[in-house]
Amino acid sequence: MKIEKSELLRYLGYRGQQYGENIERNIDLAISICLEKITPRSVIKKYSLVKEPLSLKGANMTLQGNDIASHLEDCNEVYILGATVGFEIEKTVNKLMNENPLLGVMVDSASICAIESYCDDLCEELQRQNAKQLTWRFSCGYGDFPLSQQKDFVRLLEMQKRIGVFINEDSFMMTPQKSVTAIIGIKESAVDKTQSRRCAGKCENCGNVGCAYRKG
Amino acid sequence: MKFNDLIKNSIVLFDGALGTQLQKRGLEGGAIPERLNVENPQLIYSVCKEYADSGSDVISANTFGANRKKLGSKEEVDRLIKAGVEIARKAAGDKLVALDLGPTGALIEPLGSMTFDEAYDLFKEQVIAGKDGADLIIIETMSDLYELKAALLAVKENCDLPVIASMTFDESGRTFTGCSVEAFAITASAWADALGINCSLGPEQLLPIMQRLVDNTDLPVIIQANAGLPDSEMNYPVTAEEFASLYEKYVDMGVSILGGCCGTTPEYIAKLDELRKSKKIGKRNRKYNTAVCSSTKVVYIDGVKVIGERINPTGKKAMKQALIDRDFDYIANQTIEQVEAGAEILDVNAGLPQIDEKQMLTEMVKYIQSLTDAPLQIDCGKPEAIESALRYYNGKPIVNSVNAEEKSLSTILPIVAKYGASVVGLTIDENGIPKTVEERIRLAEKIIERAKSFGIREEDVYIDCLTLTVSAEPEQAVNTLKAIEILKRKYNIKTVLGVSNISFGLPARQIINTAFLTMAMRAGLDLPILNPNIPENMQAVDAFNVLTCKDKNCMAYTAKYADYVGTQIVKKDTAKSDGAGGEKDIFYCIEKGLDRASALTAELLKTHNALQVIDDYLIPALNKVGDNYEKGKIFLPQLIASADCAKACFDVVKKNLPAGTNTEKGKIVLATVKGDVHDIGKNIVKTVLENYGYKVLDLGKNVPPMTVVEAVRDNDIKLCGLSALMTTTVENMQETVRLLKEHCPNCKVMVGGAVLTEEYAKQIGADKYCKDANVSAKYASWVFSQAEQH
Repeated sequence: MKIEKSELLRYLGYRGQQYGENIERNIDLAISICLEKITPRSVIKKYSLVKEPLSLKGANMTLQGNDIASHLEDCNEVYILGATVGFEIEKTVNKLMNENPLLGVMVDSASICAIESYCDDLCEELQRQNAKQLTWRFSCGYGDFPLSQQKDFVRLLEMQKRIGVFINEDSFMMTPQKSVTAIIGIKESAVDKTQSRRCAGKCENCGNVGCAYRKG
Repeated sequence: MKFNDLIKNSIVLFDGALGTQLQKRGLEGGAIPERLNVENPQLIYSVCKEYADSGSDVISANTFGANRKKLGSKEEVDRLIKAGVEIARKAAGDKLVALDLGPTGALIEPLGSMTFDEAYDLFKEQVIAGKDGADLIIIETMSDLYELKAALLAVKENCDLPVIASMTFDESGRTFTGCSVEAFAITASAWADALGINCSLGPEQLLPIMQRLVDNTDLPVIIQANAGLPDSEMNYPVTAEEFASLYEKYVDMGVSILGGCCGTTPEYIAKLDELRKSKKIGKRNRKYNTAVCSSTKVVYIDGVKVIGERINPTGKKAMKQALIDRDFDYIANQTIEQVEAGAEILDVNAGLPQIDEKQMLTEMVKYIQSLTDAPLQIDCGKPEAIESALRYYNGKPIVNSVNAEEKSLSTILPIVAKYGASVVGLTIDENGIPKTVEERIRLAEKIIERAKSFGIREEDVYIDCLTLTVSAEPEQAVNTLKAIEILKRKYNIKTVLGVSNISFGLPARQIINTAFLTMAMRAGLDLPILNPNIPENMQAVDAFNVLTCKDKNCMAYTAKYADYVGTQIVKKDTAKSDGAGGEKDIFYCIEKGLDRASALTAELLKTHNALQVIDDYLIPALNKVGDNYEKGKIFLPQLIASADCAKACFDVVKKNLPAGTNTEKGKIVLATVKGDVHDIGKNIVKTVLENYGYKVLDLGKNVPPMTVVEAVRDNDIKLCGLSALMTTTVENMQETVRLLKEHCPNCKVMVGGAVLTEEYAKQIGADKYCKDANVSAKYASWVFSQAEQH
């Protein structure tokens, strides 16, 4: 797990502005607080894919939307992943927003970096264990893959019991907030060593070109 | 045989996993297993029967997740639970049946949106549905102490069955929500017949956590570990033999109830059955006896622990006003300040004639426990109000207080006992304050005896020998101290004392207070109630800890006082000097967010009046910051740093204003709408608005539409800000806007949040879309300048 300063700043809307020593000092502090307060946990399950309709075998879960279908085009199997950096960091941010909001927003941003980096690590590890090429991770809310399917992930992965992630049944919002669900396809082709499993491609592949947080 | 007889002398064997067995038999992932109680009862029966045959003394019914939240209706809960219990009964034969209750699946406030009462009702329905066929109840796999409390109360208030409470912990000994195993032991002992740990990890990893559990309770204890952690194809690594051999250590530790969780099968239970035939239960030895706790922090009363007295309106004008105005931010500041100053427990008092004490006390307890880890002392003499506060407290608090009057003892002690709190006993009765040491002892003894008769342990009684004003009754100070000494020698009680009354009517009161505090600690005072923000108070405690070897090697003392100069600890100024003159660089300092801005403000106040400083310096400086942000010259943290810095400057100015001068620019209500439980964006807006001089009434997150309307209406609010994070909660925002427009047409509504756009905001009827905190501040300025013109 790594919290990159540049990522932390990007989530805060940084566009190359000059900033002083007080901001710099808080960035370092935020990163160390974040690393101290996170409790990364994850659960991963492997499923076979059924093609018509696209669904996970034995799981009562159909995968909706065209984007997930094209993402999993050459796959017969998938991993589904649930991950979180836990409640403690969230409580810490809430507390800081009361006591020291500057540090609060920075720790919040650091915790986004933490969950992203943690998921990247998990995906890299999965790839290391696999002779087949894995797709990059695809989450609910990407493209036309509906947010409501978050519920299926939480249910199938028993995320509440296994890693302490809860879902609001009406808004599909997860708590702790810094939690991720994702699906990773296992392609039929052999590993392509030139491809990274990190989420570098995520922004390029996203249709929301005007996004404030878009990389590059 | 009854469960409570069974656990007296023998090792009791529970069953293993049900879910794992069902999945093996082809249950689809994510299907609701309790439906099988009616759809395929034979399947459930066969699993239960296998466990009964492999040696289990207790068969858990297939009812773990059968609550209304998951099943949809009370009728379905009733149907599936009754069927589940019946199947278990049939399979159990002469063995016992446990009604099995798992978590609701939703989070209770403030982490989630379910109320404590809603959770209670869900469990109550389950208990009523299942109590008739069951011999006992097991509540298991819980990760939120608050939810566990709701479940335990639902059991105790709706049936007479024995109940086991079991939570699930990670390697650090905390649950997912942060509850420590110690806090669990200390809190749940009030209601449960046995405590335990289940799920999450294998037996090896859970062993040290179990040690911490048995160190903190006398109750029988259960272990139901997983067969290790499964891989992505759901294979569990710990075999039945390994599992049973690891369980030996648990039995040696004194764990007397054994079972298995995820990944265990009848084979595991059979091995445990073999094990128990060859083992004797190890002797238990509770290590810690007196403690109070929140769900995340335990305070052992094994030395002097300071109770902060500031959250109490008595004699405190500002707190009184805060309670009347429902100014929770003020209470928040008092909370944070006292904990930072070293208070380990906080007294909470809502006693004001003009407010409803029961409702306010409960609200304050809920609010303060969401802000701090520090355990609370509920300071109230009204049984109804105490009970309500205790019910919603998450942990084991102190009740302050009972006295030796029969009416007080007979009405308050039963409540203290029911909720497992500690209690302060005042040595006073209908005859008034005793004048002699002996009378104080006699009244203390009466309280201790009566407390015990209600089942309250001596260790949980904290006697207050009363501080009287020394200038009025010179002999009484010594009598108080003597009584403390004698009581501490004779009983296992703790003592508590409000300190500052001693000096009433005297000059330089703190001199007397400090001396009396020191003498009282020496006499045996455990829990001084005082103002931790007065340095001398904490200094006396810190010194006492050094001199009585509580502070080993003077570590804490040295760390705290290394930079001590004169009468206080001096904070080093971290801001850099830039060498520029005063007038020129207050703009610079605010722009850069430098601490030195407040010193410069004080400088300016020597040559300018307060309003000039605000209008000519602070506001223009903030406006410049806002412009820079809008143009992208600075980014969010810089905006916040500047706003923060300006706030410190405003505070300096306010101190220099004549009392009663109003600098408030206007009151704004902020809320994150119903369904949204994440509110960092709203909090950023709040910070910025406050720093511009607006008074913000922050309603928090997950706020029902009508609550927003009421706050706006009751406070005659001109501007209300709403935030929503998800497409799914924008509907609730729309409803809130609609109701606001209907009931409070003069209030402008600004909206913001991740999914909103200008167009969307217009569509749902809002007056203004604010893409960030800066736009909100600008809009607020416009709204209030318009209001002035009318």
